[in-house]
This record gives sequence, structure tokens and C-alpha cells, in this order.
Amino acid sequence: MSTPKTIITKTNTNKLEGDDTISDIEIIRSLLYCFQGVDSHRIVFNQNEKQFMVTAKLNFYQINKVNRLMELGYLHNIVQEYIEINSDNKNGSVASGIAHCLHEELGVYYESINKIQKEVNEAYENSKNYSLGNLLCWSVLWLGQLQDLGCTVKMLNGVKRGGELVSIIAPFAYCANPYLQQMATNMIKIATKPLMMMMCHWMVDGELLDNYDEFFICQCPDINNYDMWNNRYTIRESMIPTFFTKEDVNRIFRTGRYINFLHTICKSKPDLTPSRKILKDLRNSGDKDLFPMLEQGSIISELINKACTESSTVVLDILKDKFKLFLHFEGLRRYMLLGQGDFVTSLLEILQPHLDKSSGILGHHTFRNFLDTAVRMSNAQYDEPTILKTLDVKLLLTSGEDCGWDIFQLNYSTGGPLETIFEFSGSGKYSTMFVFLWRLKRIDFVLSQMWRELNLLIKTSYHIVSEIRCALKSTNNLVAEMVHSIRQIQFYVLSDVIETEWEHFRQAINKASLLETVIEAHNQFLKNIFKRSVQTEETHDLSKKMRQLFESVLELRGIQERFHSQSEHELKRRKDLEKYIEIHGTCNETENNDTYLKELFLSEVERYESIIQEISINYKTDLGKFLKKLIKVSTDDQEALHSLANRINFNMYYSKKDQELEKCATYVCRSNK
Amino acid sequence: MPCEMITVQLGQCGNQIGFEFWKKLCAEHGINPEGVLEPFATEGVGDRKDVFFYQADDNHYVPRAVLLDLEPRVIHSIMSSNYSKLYNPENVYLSKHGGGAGNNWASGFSQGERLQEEVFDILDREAEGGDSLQGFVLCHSIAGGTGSGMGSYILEHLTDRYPKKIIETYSVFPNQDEISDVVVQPYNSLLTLKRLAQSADCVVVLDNTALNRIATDRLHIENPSFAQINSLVSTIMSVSTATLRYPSYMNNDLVGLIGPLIPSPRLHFLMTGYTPLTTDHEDANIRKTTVFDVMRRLLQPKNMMVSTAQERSTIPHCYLSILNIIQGDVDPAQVYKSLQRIRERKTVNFINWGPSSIQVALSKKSPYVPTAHRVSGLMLANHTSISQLFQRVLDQYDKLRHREAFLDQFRKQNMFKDDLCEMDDSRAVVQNLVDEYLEATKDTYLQWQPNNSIN
Repeated sequence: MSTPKTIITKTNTNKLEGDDTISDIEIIRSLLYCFQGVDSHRIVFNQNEKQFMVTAKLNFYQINKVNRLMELGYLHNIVQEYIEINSDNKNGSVASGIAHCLHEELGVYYESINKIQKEVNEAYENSKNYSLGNLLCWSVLWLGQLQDLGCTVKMLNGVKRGGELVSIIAPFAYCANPYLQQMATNMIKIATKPLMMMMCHWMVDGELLDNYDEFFICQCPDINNYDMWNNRYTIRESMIPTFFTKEDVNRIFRTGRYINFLHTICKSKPDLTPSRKILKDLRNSGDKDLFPMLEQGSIISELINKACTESSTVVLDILKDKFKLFLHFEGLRRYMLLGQGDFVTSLLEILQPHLDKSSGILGHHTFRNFLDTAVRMSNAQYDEPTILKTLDVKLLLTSGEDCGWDIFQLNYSTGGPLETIFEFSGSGKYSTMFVFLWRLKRIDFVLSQMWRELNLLIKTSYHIVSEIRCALKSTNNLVAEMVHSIRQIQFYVLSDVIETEWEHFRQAINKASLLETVIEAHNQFLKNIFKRSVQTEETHDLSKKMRQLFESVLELRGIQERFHSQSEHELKRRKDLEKYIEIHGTCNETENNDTYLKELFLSEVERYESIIQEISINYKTDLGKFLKKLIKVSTDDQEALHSLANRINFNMYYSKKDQELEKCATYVCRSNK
Repeated sequence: MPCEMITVQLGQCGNQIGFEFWKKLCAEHGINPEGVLEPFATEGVGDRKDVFFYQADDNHYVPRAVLLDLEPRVIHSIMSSNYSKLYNPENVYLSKHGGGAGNNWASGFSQGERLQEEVFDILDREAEGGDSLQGFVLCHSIAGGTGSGMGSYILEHLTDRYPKKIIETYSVFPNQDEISDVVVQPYNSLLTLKRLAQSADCVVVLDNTALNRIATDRLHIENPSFAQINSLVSTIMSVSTATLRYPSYMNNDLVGLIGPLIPSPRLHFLMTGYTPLTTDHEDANIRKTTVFDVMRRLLQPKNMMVSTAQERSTIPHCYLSILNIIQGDVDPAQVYKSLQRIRERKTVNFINWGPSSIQVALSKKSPYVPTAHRVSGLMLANHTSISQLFQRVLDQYDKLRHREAFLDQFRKQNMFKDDLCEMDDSRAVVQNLVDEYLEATKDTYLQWQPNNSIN
């Protein structure tokens, strides 16, 4: 090349003129190197001060101009540094894309420098003047642009990557500065290509293809199968490009999650839905970017929306058809929520003799047999095999002191995809509800038994053992009162709450075409039945009071059972004695003995009566407290609870006797109107 | 299966209503007159056929029914109908003597005693066949000879033999509006009532007076036939057992069903009400019925199937309990709302001595039997005014007894050969029952003690 040679000559000429300052042309030549970040004879880059220094002496007029011009070199280096650091995916593909854009911008800049160099050379060859002033004129445009680039680069520097980077650049796309706007547009187009790929891949195949950790969805480590639905993937807020709406992100996230769920948990690969097919084509073409997303209602947004809806439907359909979701809901209702009443009665009948004993005697296998018997004895035998296969017993760990009732539960565990999403068994919700309802049914069953035995006793021994008439009557009155309240609790819980909520739930899911709708409806259903049947944390006090009522029934049962056998024994004794006397006649001893035994029995009867009296008083007190609490709570937010109070106090029997309760009740009446 | 029931139908009336009942059950469960499941019913709709039927080895459904009579007419007509193959022929017992009970309770009772071995053989065999028998349902009339007399004998002895089983009866009370050709009807009724009071656990009173009035006044049938009256009866019987046959959350067993209705063991006589009532002629232009409509109408005396005169009485008669069994297209959320509306109106009189309420059981209805109504309801109620029916029996008995009329027929029988103690005793029991019902209208009922001299 001839040009450098010429420059050196000119420089020498200036020196020869005896001036210790250097000529314009000499400094211009050095500046042209400096512009490209290259050290030259006169201008070198000082690593410590991070700036270019002129090694020669400049005259007064040159200093300002050169200083100003050297800024280009400085800015160039900043940009160049970013490019070097971020090229070749060293900091991820997005950063690399941005580096690539910057590199292209610099390319244009280099070209311009080349042109200037030519002009400079030409000027000197033709002995025309080319001053620093000329160069300054040229530099104005570039200085502005490089300042913009430098500024941008400074903002991008640091640890930022992926979507974060895009978010920083995105605002420039709306910038009034046409250069910046153009540059930002370019950058977004280039840099979001990898993000577009990841997004499409996620939505098409349900997999993360994120080699450089840049996507706004990431996988959590160490998640076991059961957490697959809720916790396996998560959204990284910082990585979301700012021009993505919340809905977009949510839909993208969900779509991939559905597909991933289908592939990994359901082991099912249905055909691509139309939108996902398009997404797949976009991915395969490899040169699509997210730039359109900057505008509202972009095609991509629409695609995302459709893909999400379609996938949700596909998953729901598969859960319904292949995994029998709705059938299992029905199974849960029938067995965990005791909807299959005849089965529950059978099971209670079969289990009662075993559960009254202390726990730990019988193993799981035995209970499983009881369960099978109860199924055979009830309409459950005609139930779907799918449901029956899922039904099992669960025995809780025992401390040894518990009786069988405390440890026996039914278990309905579908496993697989349904369990992953709905956690029928894992959440323990159905199991909690079962325990409550099962206890309620057991109390009802015990009351039925007492009613039956009392009726029988009254029929058979009433006339012969007349001393127990009073005792039987007061027992009967207490049992009748208990039957009433327990029945009303049952009507409330089973009909007003579960049946009603179930009906709403059933209607909601039958209309649903999206998985979310079903999940949401299911959560709402559970929430409502827990809240309304006072099984939540907040209503702990109420459920405790309810349990006290249950306990009273069991207490009465124990005492009544003993008394029942005593009475039967006495009845038999008297009958036998009668027969004996008929055959053998009587004597003093026999009569005295009889009188003694009668007195003994009578004292038992009296003792029994006083206990009944006590239980009766306690029961009424507890029930009164329960009713007041119900009414008080329902004035706050639990509107529905007063219906239980009204059911129990339907004929005002309780409020007539209790002024405080009456006040509560009238208050509620008025406030509801 | 738990809650299996054996139906015992006795005498002319018992067999007639039994026949209608089984016809209805067959239709509701999709079982044809020969006991074969109709093709459209093979899927099942969550119904429990085995409460009232068992399946024979050839898969035929056979009613757990025992048909007893002392004269052949009704049983012959059943056995020559197209339902003849439905019943187990071994369960159909017709007295060889065939002369009936001559509308005489005493004759029926003593024939019952004489034939007990054969009759209880049938009952025992039927009871052994079931896995877990819950009780017996007795269908009979209290006025005639066989249903009342033989029925009384069987009632007394069922309790001894099956002390743990529930005995429910559907007892037909005679029509007071027409002059009966059975002159000793008051004697028969009184003697039967004693057994119903002492041996039955639950008596569903089917009052022919009310049923005939409903047929003429409400359904506009001029001379209602037995079949038309019996179709009302079979409706009552089938709906009152619907919750057993279509199990759901509650009321799936008999004790659970009747226990809450009977807070005091002796007061176990239930009256029924049904709405809407329609005839075959009436078409379906009935306005849309809601749960509230049904519940409100069930509380109206005109829909009650027992002829008591609540409004004319000076006694503050009241409900001990109510169970409404509602069928049809019902939103369960409406139930409580309707209850609350009824409660706010305060038009229903309940006892004051204990808690009570209207229980509402929603029950499925058979998809195989089309109905004109969206919602229909049956009320089973324990109401103190039922004592008027018993008082009527007492009054009529007293009149007859005072004149010593028609007692010869009774004196011919062993039981009354020496004296009429049994009648006096029965009168006392029924009087005591009436007294207890009247006591139950007062606040002091819990302190009340029945007359000790009666046993």
C-alpha cells in the first residue's frame, strides 16, 4: 500500500519546518487508527485511564478538536469490548445476538472511516487541504451514533442476559431518535430469535431448550413425580421481556406445562393442535423473532392464546377419556364424601364390632376384606370397576390406645396424572372430610341402634320390669333430642352443603372445556364444603363444639348399653323366678332374695337415671352454646351457617327456653331481610 | 344386602294393595310381570332392587312377598293375572278350608293360631333367605276378618320370633262415609288397633275415608273403584320406600327413616300426604311446580290422606315430626330456602316439648315411569290429630258394645268364650293411645305417665 508511505513523508515535512507541534495530517492519520481502537504512533490507549492519549504535542487549535475526536475511539472501544465479551454465545444467545448487531453497526462505521481515509489520502495527493475541521464535520454523525451505542452498551453491561437484555432494548424501539429506533428494532429482531425458538419449542414439545439459561420459564431441581404439576416449572419474572403481557406469559407457561404433563406424566402424545402446528413451523423455519409482540394483538399473541386454549382442552379431554377424571370425581363423592349411602351403612354394620375394640389387632388385609364385603352387600357392587379399584382402606399409625374408629379411613388414590394435578389423596382434603362425615354417620348409626333397642325394651320388658319405665322414658327423650340434632346436622352437611355444592360443581365441570376451569371449580368445591361444614381453621371452635355433641352420644351409648343388659338380665331373672314359683312354689327365702335383688336393681336404675339426667343437661347446654356460636359466626361472614341453627331450632324449642338464644336468632332474622 | 324387607300381605284388602304395590315396584325397577329385567333396565340407574326382591338362580327377580288369605278370591285373581309368575308359589298360602274369616276378627285370629305352623314356616324360610333382613312390611285392613284377625296374630308373634326386626304396617282404615256391610267392623278395628299399638314399630295409616274423598273431590272420580283407590295407595307405598330403593346420602335404611319420625315409641302412627294429585284424564298442563309449592301443599289438610278434622278441633293438635320425600327435578339449594319460608310463616304447629322440624329427603325417581310432574312429594307425618281416628273407633265400639250387638259371633271363638276381657283390654289400650296423643299436644308431655293399671 502506498498511502502510509505518503503519510510518513508528510509528517517528516512538517517536522522539518522546525515546529515542535505536529501537523493536522499527521494527527488525522493517528486519529483514523484511534477511531477503530487501534494504537498508533501519536495516539495510544492508556489501559489504566481507559482513554486514548496523544503522545505528541498539539497546538492550541488542535487540542480541543483532537480531544473531541478521540471520543469516537473511546466509544468504539466500549462497544467493541461488549462485542468481544458477548460474541459466540459466551453470555448467552441473546447477548450474542446483540453483539452481532453492534458488530454490524461498527461495520458501517468502519466503512465510513475507510471512506474518510481515502478522502484524506486523495486530498493530500492532490495537495488539497484536509483539516481536523473537516474530520470534525464528518465525526458529528458518528459521534452521536456511537454515543448512543455506548450508552446502550453501558446499560446492557453487567450480569444481564436473555430476556432481561431484551427488556432493556425494547423501549428504544419507540425512541424518537431514528437511529436508535432502527438499531433497537434490529437488535430485537436478531436477539429475540433464540427466545422465539425456546418459546416455540416449549409450547410445541413441552420441553425447555435453554442452553444458556435465558428463558423466562425454568425447571426447578429435585422435584418428584407428585410435585410435577405444581412445582416442576416456574416463571422467572426478571427474564420476561417487558413487552409480554401477563396473559401472554401465563398462557405460554401453561401451554408448555400441559404438553410436558401430557408427554411425561400421561405418556400420551396426541396430534399437534392447529396453533401448535403453526408454532412448530415457525420454530423449524428458525428465523422468526418476537418483534411483532411489541404491538398489541400481534399474530404471535393470538397464536399463544389459541395454543393455550387448545392444549388445555386436549389435556382435559385426555384426563376425561383416558384417565376418567369425571368418573373419579363421582367415585370421590360416593366413597370419600359418603354419597353411596347403602354402602356406608353396610360398612358401618360390618365394622362396628371390630372398631369398638382397641386398634392394632387387625391388619390392613382384614379391613380390606371388610371393605370388599360392604361393596358386595351394597349397590357399590355395580359401580364402575375403575372406581372400585381405586378405593382402599387406610389405617393410621396407632399409639396403641386409640380404638379402631380413630385409625380407620377409606382411601381413594388415583395416582398418576389425576393425583399429580388434583392431589385427591396427597392433599389430605378428602381424607379430612371423610373423617368428619364418617364420624357423623357413626353417631347417627349409634343413635339408630339406641332407638331400636329402646323401642324393643319398651315393647318387651315395659310391663314386667315397671321400675325402668321412667328411666326408659327419659332415655328415650334424650335419644329423641339427639336424633333430632344429629339428623339436622346431617341434613345440613350432606344435603345443604355437599349435595348443593356438588350440584354446582357438576354443572361447572360439565360446561368446562378448559382444564383450569375444572381445577378452579374443584378447588372452589372443596373450599366451600370445608368452610360450610365448619372444618376450616377459623371454625375450629364450632367443630369442637359439634364434636362435643358427638361425644355425648357415645357416652350415652356406653351407659345405655350397660343398662340395657342389666335390664334384660333382670327381666330374665323375674321370668325365670315366675316359672320357678309356678312349679316349685315359693318360700320366705326365695321372696326375700327376690326383694333384695329387686332393691339392688332399683338402686341401679336410680343411679342410671341420675347419669341420664346429667348427660341430658350437659347435652342441652352444649347444644345451646353450639347454636349461639353458629348464629354469632353467621352474622359475620358465614351466612350459610345460620341455616344449620335454624334447622336445629326449627320449631323454636331451644330459643323459647333460652332468651339469649332468642335474641341472637331474632337479630339474624332481621339482618337477613 | 342390608335393609332387606319381607312384605306380608294379608286378606282381601292386604293382597289387593300388595298387588298394586308390586306392580308399581316392577314398573319402577324395570322388571317385567314375569320377573325378568326389561332390556332397557339392564344398565341399572343406581336403584336397589334387592330391598324388596331377590334374584333367583335363573336371574329372575322374585318379590320377598308372602301372600296369605283365608279365602281364595283375591289370591286367585292375582295368580291368574299376568303377574302370576312373579311370585314365589311357595310363598302364596291359601287356607285349605277356604271359607274366609267371615269378616270376624276372632275367626281370623284363631285361624291364624291354627295355621301358624304353616304360615311361620313360609316366613322363616323367607327370612333365612336374606343376608340381613331388616324387617317386615305388613299390608292389611283393620276392619275385615283375615287382615285384622290373622294379621293381629301374626303381628304378635312376629315380635316374639324376630325381636330385632322392624315391623312396619300399611294398615287400611275403613271408609266412614259409607255404610259398611261388615257390622262388626268397630270390634275388628279396636282389637287390631291394640296389636298395632303394642306390636308394630311403625304404622302407616291408609284411611279409606280420606282416600275416597280425595278420589271424588280432588280427582273428580264419581264412584272410585278399588283399583283407583289402590293406585293412590301404591303411590304412597312406593314413594315412602323410595329412599331405600334409590340409596343416596341419607335415609337408606328403615330405622334411619322412621326413627326420627317417632320420638316417642307408642306414638308410631303416621299419616301421609301426596301432591300433586292427578288422574289419567288430566293432561300435563300443570304449572311448573317448585319444591316450595310441593312442601307448602303437603301441609294443607286437603292433601292429607287421613280424614281428621284439624280445623274444627278445639285441641291444639300438632306435628311430632314430618318427613317429606321429594322426587323429581330439584335443586338441593332450594330445600333450605323453602324450609325457611315455611318457618317464617309460622303456620305449622309443632310440639313444644321437644325439638322438631320438617325433614326433607330428596329421592331419585324411576326413569322408566313417566310422570306429568316436574316435582312431586310425599309427606310422612306424625300428627296428634290421628288420635281422632282412634277416637272414632272407640266411639263406634262403645255404641255397639253398649247394645251388646253382634257379640255372638265373637263368643263362638275360644278367645271370647268365657268373657270379653280381650275387648275391654283392647279398649283400654286404644284409649291410652288416644290419651297419649292428646297429652303430646301439651307442653307437659314429658312429665306425663301412662295409666299404670293397663298392661
